[in-house]
Amino acid sequence: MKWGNLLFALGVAAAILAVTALLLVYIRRGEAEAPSSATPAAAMLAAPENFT
Amino acid sequence: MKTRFVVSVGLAGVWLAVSLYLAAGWVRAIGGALPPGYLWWAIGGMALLPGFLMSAMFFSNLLHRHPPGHPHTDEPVTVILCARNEETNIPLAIRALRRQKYAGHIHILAVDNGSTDGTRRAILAQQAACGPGCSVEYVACPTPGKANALNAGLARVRTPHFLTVDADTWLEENAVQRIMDHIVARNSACVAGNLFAANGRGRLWARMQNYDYLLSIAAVKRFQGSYRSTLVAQGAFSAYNTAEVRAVGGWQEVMGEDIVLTYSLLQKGLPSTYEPRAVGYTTVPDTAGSLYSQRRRWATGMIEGLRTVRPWQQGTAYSRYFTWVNLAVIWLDLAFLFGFIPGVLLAVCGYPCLVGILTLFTAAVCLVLYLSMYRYQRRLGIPFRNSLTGLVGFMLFFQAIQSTAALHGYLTGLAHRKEVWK
Repeated sequence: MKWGNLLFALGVAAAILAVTALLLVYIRRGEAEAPSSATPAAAMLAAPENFT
Repeated sequence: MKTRFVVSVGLAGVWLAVSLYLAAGWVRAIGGALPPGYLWWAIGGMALLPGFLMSAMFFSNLLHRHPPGHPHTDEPVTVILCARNEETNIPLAIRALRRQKYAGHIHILAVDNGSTDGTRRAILAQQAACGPGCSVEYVACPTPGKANALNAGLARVRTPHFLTVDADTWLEENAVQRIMDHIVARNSACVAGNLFAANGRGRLWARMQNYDYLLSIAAVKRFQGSYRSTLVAQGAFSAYNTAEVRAVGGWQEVMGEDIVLTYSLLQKGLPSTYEPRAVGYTTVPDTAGSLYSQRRRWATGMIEGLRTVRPWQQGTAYSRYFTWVNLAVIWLDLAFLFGFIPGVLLAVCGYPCLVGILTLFTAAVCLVLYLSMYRYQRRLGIPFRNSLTGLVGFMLFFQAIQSTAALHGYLTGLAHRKEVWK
């Protein structure tokens, strides 16, 4: 693979990981602010059929 | 045609409305777990819009009945075959053309675009081997660039219609007859042939593309072609009306010269159609690097086409719809990369908020769509050999490579960067 293409692909992979990390931080911060059983993530895990 | 379009888009609209209703409940249930703007952007690009587009295509193809066949023509035809350092492939391409079961005469213009290998010698050897139904003319075009080579060939065309075939593409023995029957009977400005991977039994990268050509590309072309608005009459194997191509000035020197030409023909309101029974086999990239480069070029070509003819400048309502869809594909690629893949990673981390159990259901729906296209291609009697690893690779990994390369190509196209045909 050409260097330019490889670098771009690696950049996209890094950006995907960064987006995932940001989303994880967002979810966990939400959980920390509302630590009851009704937190969104817990609700999701309790009823996964509600989500695609 | 109009009724079928309205019905299929209407049914897809119903599908979208139901999906939207489910998605609204989903977003409410997630609450503040994810940023709402991001959530709607991701859901729209990885579920709602793909669902609408796929279902419109599915219903339309389901309702479309291909005409049983066209009357045979014996009109003489010219084939433009451009080559740059293709000494290995070009003998196979010309031999396949020489062996065509075509009622008329086939004149092959083999355009040598500054080759430094034995391409000229290979062409002249094929010239000597020609029988009465076929002739080969060697054309030298030292100016580099595929558009230059194609235009050099176009200047020598003396027949009402001509074909373009890539030097690494060989045609099934009835391909020329079928595509010529189609373009003469339907009076199209251009007709795209049905391409498959010639090296589809080779490495995994090539085996995956077998299914891309068989299930995705063919389905889109069939959908667009049934409304006389095929957006790409690919240079690898297509037929053209000579006068119409000359009237739009031939090919432009861009990455996606075949896309820009088709868009220019469509802008004039001319029909661009698809003939699934005209089959060709093209050598597809068999390494990750060459596949990436090819898909990047295709995406750049799409941007070039959209820049040359804006969606609202298209000649018919159908071609306007399809070019808007093409533009929307950029969103789909971004949503796949930055919505779906992070969603899978979140699910692996125990947060199935973007991708979860129901995603398996959408995969099942996708399989149904692919199966319907597979059965259609099978009914056409096209010899096709299956590969389980190719299918699995196509289903699981292909889109990630495709979307990354496409994103790169969009940015290249937007930056007006030019690349050289090698």
